[in-house]
Amino acid sequence: MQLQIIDVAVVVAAVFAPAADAVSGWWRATGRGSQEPKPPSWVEPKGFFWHVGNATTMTFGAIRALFRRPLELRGTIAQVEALGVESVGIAITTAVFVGMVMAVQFAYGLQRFGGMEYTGRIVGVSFSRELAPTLTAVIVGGRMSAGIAAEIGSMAVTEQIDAIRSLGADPLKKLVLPRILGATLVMPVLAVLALVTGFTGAMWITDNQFGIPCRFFYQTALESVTLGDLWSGLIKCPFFGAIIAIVGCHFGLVTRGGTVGVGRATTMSVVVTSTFILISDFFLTKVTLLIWPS
Amino acid sequence: MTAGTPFIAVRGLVKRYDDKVVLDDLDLTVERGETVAIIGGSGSGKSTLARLLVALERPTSGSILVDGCDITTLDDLELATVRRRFAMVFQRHALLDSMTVFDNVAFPLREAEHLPSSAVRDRVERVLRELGVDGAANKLPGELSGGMAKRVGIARAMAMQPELLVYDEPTSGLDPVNSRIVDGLIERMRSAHGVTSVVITHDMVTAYRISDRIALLAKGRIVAEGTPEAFLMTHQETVREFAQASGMDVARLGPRPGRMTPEEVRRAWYRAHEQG
Ligand SMILES: Nc1ncnc2c1ncn2[C@@H]1O[C@H](COP(=O)(O)OP(=O)(O)O)[C@@H](O)[C@H]1O
Ligand SMILES: [Mg+2]
Repeated sequence: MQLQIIDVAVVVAAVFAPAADAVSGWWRATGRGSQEPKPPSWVEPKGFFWHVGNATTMTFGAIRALFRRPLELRGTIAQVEALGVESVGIAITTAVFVGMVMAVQFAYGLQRFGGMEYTGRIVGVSFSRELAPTLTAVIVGGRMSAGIAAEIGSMAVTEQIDAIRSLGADPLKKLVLPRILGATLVMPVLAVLALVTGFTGAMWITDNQFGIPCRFFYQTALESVTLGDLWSGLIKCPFFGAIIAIVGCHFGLVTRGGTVGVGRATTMSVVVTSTFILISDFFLTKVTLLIWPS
Repeated sequence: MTAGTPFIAVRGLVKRYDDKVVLDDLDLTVERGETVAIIGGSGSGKSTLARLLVALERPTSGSILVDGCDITTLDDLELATVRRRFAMVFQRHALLDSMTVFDNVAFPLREAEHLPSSAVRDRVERVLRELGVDGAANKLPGELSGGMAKRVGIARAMAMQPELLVYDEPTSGLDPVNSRIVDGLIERMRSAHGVTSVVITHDMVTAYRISDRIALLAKGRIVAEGTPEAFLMTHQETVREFAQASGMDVARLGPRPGRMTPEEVRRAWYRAHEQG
């Protein structure tokens, strides 16, 4: 596949978003010569590679820990429960409303060209290919990774991570691995939930406001959504889940500087998670188009 | 272990964070059975030294010899084994706040030693009773008072039956009564279990009461060191500041409580470990 203008745009955006964050960070830092130890800023080139390097080492450490007895099964189940339960409500709510907005916008727009009956097809395809996985990941992911960063960050500044290490256990195995596995397992489930509820919301609102019967909406959607569409959406979810957990765990583990540091870690993990999800979505989409060409 | 080899020998230790030198060419020796108090102002690098001693961090350069073997050259896995022989009582107690007191104390036994659950239960109940916190076994760390949390922190460290126990500011944030109780516990861990201790503190009273030797950490190295009595006599200037800050009147200091000699402590350690 050739490099297209859109690829360039994504890269520019990827550079620009951190730069904007850098400017605001510099603005806040001026006039405050704090001597507190803290992790380097992720928006400076040196700091960026420090973070990427650390997060990579952490991830490989966690993967290696996967092959050491005992399996942290209980911890993983606890994480699936915690991450899943805290996210179901917000995932469903946003999916329903986004579904309704999409349906209303498309029905309204297509009406002008006399193509309102295509609403079901478009909503079905866009939800299964893109909206259910990515929108859920961005919205739920910010919350998840912030929660992870806050929890692990608090443990870091109260020496609990050091305590785990000094007591002969591995924080990568005890804390990081269960979260990566948990988030990886939970995301596909949430995406399916979002797909079902978002589609239902869209179906309901078009029936109500545009007089397209639910049955028709449903059948046309089913006709046009292929298995490839479903898979190319679902396949992204585990990657998003891993990104969410890795970013949260990383910023948590490197937290320094007391409660202020925990706040900083939390905000950074939200920004980085959503940026990385969108950037990786772009490349994952390209890969899925290679695997399931239209 | 050959005779004459110190238990812990720190040689030319340097620890740098970026361009900030925290420890600069530090030397320190700890013999088995000894209690060494390390005093110094805040930010002088006491906690950093403690973390290096229990192998939580690696030095920038220099060596830490344990029974003559340099632990700074070990790889991560070997280091984890060495770490099991040492324990640390953290300044902010560092109890895992998602677990009960019982599970906190059981944590090292389950994670590192993989003991059967009945043995874990016995050992945990024993240390909790010994430190007077057996009533709090089912509480969460958040529900404990400062003094209780500190005791549970000591209990968790002792559950590992360590050879070396490093206390990071064990009495900071405690009222005087609780501070003296903790002093007593540190002394008891030494006499009853023969554990070698390094006590990091800026409380001169604690240092004086519980140690065989006091060392003053300043500008990244040990600048003065000696038995408590000698230390107080020879380094009046620097020492007086600490003494006053701790509310201690050097001139009217009573005799130190009778203590076991390091030799007796060593014998207690071997006795305890032959039985166990
Ligand atoms: N991880 C770190 N990164 C950067 N600087 C650190 C780090 N840990 C400690 N320091 C710095 O090292 C110095 C000594 O810290 P510390 O050992 O905690 O002192 P103390 O325990 O004596 O108060 C402090 O100035 C602190 O800012
Ligand atoms: Mg300290």
